[in-house]
Amino acid sequence: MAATILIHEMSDATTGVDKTSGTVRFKSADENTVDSNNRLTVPGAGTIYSFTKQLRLRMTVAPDVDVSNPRAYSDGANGFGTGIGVQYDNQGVTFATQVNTDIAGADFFTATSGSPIDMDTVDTGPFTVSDLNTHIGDILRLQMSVASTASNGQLTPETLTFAYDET
Amino acid sequence: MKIQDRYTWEAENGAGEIVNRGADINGAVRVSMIPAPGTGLPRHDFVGVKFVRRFARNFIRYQIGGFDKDAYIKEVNETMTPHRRAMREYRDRLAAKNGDTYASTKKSTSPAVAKKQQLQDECVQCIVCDTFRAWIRYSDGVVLITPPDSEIYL
Repeated sequence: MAATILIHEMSDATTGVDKTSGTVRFKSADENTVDSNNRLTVPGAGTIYSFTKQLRLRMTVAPDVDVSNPRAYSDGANGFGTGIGVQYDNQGVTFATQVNTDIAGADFFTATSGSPIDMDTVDTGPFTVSDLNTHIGDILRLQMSVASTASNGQLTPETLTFAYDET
Repeated sequence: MKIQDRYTWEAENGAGEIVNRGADINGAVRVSMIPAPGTGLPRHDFVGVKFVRRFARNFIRYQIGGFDKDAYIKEVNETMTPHRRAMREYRDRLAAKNGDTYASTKKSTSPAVAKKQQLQDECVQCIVCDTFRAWIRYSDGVVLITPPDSEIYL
């Protein structure tokens, strides 16, 4: 039977909400509800930052042998428009306090299928049945930035892909 | 049906035994990708090559950022004051008289509002041989042959 791997939006080191095939909304508050509350507002000057989002894989059905090589990447094109960016860093297995200050991460849209983010540099695979019902791999921390040059309005979502190998 | 269940694989070793677990297919004389019934996917049988190992690569899609219009409309309708609701209905009645349609019933054509076409989750099976890799895509059964050290991320 194929393993089941979920994407969790973490609220602490070991607790997360299943967001598989879902949406993460970058907000001006530390919460993960998909609604229009706590929107980001284009600043009059400078740049504002959303509260961080921290994502991690969770194994809920074990593979026959193992799961390995977790990766994450974007489609390589920032479709959010001028003045809006998403940055990321790898938190290893340490849940960082959620902040809305600049995390000075790398541009998420430079992580592509040709150069994906290695998601098991700290919590290294392979992951086996002994990892069942635990979070596996590293924590991917994301943050949206909105500069004064951004336009008001609604954004079209971008796609984040998680990949992993299974035997 | 989960994307991972659209195909199963099996390898036949020299003694005629069928193997369908694990990564090691070294010494197999045949490796097959067998579609699940009713999927209409093609079956693939690989023979006459030297097999090394196999693995499945899974891709989970996840949306970041953007605007959930349905959630927004629902919230607006739930929190609208009676006065505002009455004013909106009055406006729409006036518009209907003139054969026009206002924003509350008009469909947006703005590209920024339109939801980006969601990429579907995907799975590929990689059969590693001594001189090439065969990648079989689970959504449509397409096979891609690459050099033996190539990686594919969709």
